[in-house]
Amino acid sequence: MSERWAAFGPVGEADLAAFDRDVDALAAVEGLVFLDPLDGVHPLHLAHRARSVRPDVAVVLPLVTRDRNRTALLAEARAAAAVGARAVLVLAGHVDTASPARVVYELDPLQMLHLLAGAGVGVAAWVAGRTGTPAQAARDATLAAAGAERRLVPWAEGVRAAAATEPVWWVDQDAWRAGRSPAAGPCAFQLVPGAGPDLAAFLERGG
Amino acid sequence: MVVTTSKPIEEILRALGAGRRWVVLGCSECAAVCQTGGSAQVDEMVERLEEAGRTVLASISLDSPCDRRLGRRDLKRVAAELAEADGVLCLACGGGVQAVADVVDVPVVAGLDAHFVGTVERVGVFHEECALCGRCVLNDTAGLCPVALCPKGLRNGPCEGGVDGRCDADPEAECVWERIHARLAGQGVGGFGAYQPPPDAGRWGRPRRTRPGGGKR
Repeated sequence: MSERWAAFGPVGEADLAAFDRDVDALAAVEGLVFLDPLDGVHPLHLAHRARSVRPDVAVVLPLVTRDRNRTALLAEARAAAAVGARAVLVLAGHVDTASPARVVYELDPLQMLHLLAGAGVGVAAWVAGRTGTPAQAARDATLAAAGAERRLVPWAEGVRAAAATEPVWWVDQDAWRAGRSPAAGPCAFQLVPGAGPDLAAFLERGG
Repeated sequence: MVVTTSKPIEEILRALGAGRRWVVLGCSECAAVCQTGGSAQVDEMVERLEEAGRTVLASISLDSPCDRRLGRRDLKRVAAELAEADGVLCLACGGGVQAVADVVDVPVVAGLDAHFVGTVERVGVFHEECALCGRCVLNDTAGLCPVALCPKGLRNGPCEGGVDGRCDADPEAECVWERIHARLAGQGVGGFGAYQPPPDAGRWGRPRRTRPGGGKR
């Protein structure tokens, strides 16, 4: 539970230099988790840039399942494995409010875990989600049983989920949704259990 | 029941083109319940076409336009008018329009848009509760279809985005997986039952057909 990770939301093309500086400043982090890029720069590109600054840093790349078919998702997971990603983060979550709602997901996270395992993709899978309701808790258990290596839960639920198997906690998802977009520039969030969700303070401590 | 809505009259008139003489067909089943193709709507359409300068040679509500056998039988009643008509305006779902087009020798214009197979709450209020996915999961989901009722169509539990049991894509709605979980718990079933793999698109791709005895394709 002592690992320190940083999570990045959408990063716009104009913000790549700032992104590089952020990565450089996160000297002590174990790795970087890239969340849903929305319309931002593709996380494979971000991972490549991060690795050029910090060759030692681990990266976890998102697998955004909305409006995608299984062939495309599998190809992207293989690409993540090819660049040495620590894991893929299987996302089936919120669609940005500016996006068309009610999108169809061909695969849900459990199906994605089965697909990755069945295809022999050499990369671990993480999942994200709240655990506050009985159904969400049941989902969490199902995904863990299917091999999800790690679960990311919203910050506010981190304490409640402390008994779960080694979750990595992220900051408040709603705040991230409300305040970030590719145009708003890079954002990074701590995934450090027990620490506050303040990136500035995190960076001041040297990551 | 196939839920339909009426196309705008301007779109219908464009589709009619230069043809002057028409036969108007309605549907006594689904479209009648939707009040888009019943006898009252057929009469209303006749008036609107005549106001627009067309001549309606005959109008009739078919028992079941999507049934080719019944279509052939019922259309004999207007065979003379069909022989004189420039085309048929059909107030039925897409299946009905195509079945009629197979049994007449003139162009058939669709007057309705078909949306989904719905359940009826009351007149004009329909709910999509079956997605016609070809592999029913209701026996594992306490009788609630997540394919139809989850905006994301997830088959194995909720997504990551729901907040306090509300739907991620439609915050005014309760997450169907919360409802499923609660029902299953009430029936003494924990979790979500068996793993549901994704549909086999190769097997269930369109067009779908059934054969006597339950076989498909």
